[in-house]
Amino acid sequence: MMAETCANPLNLGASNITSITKASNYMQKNTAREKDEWTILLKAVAMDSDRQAFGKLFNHFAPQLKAYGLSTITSGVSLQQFSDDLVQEVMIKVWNRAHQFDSSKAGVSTWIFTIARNARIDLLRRNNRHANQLDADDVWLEDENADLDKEFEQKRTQQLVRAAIKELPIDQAQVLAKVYLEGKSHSEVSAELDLPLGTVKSRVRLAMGKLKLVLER
Amino acid sequence: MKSFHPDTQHLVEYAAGTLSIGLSICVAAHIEHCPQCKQQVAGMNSCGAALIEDLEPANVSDDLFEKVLANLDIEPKPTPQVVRYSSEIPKAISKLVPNGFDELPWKQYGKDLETCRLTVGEDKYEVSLIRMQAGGVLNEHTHKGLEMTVVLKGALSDKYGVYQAGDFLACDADDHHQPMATQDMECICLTAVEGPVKFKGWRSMMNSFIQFQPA
Repeated sequence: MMAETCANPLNLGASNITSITKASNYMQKNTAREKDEWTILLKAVAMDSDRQAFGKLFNHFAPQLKAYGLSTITSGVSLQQFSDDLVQEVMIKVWNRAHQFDSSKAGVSTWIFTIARNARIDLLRRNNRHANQLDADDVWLEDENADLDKEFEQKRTQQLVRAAIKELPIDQAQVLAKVYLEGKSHSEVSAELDLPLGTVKSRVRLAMGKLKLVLER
Repeated sequence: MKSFHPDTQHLVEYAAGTLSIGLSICVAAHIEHCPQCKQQVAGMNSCGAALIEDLEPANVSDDLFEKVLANLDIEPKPTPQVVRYSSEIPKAISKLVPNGFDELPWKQYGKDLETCRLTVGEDKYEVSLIRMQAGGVLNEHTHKGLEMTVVLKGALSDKYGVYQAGDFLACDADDHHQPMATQDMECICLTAVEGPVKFKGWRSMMNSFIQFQPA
């Protein structure tokens, strides 16, 4: 998001500690405000079919979605076309499903990620030789157990993950990017980076541990 | 190795959308029963969102917005929900089992076992439902690669434990195992397996069960 790209604490010297603190306070507040803004815009789409609100959502999310499309590894299709198709499919679904968005389950950007992930799966599968009786939306389900008490927790998770991901060691961040953005399996990442599968698995596990996304059982 | 939950690798691959659809169906069927795994996947989804936010935003042409606007219905149009025949049928396969388990074209193997292949649209993993009579034994078998199983109805037991509805088992190729349905009721499971499956011993005619055919 805008506020986060303007300051990279890693590039600042030790004398700037006060300004880092200020910046990160500002970032947190600003992030919270922005998140609420997306929720409000989405509600305006859901309640009033508000095209202006939709336009604001488009301006913010379409360039991110396009970047997500462009990072995909595809074969035999134009990546530009693929990415434009992805943006189109996702934003139309955002319009149609705005009323299904439930801020107690996920933040707006996480909700849009799940729509984009599913749309990408369907676009990639559309080109294969199989008859697809199942759509990604049948298999990759939206969480249904709404629990209003969890709203705070969901927001907190999203903020923590967003902050913690910037602190990951480069080798862990690289593997996550290959899995989530390029759409590769652990085995494919292991082959590409010439690393044992166990190393890829443990990097992902370590990263998930640092993002506090793994439950101890 | 046995487990009651998918491991972190498979949950992350599911959240990222890189897990094959056959295996994803099994993970989804488990998540429906497991609030813990569901919560983990929700967090892993937020990881995907954060990674996308960190990408350099790409240039979007003006006419793309016009195109999207032109394709919007006047009012948001929700997608119809798939109606499930019963809650025993995982949502992920409810389209493929529209009239309940009893109406499926089961193939009988011996007196205890029936299977039904599901067409999910992938090459590598074969997805089937397996139905065992109470106390029925699935012959010891091996397979080329990974096998995931989720219990949907009744319970399954093997040398490692008893698995109830929603429990998740993952077995590797070298894992010889022989699960059986518990004595009290029939057991229906969902499996995704990297073919072909091979059975051991004198009942190797059972090899004909689950012929590997990409579908």
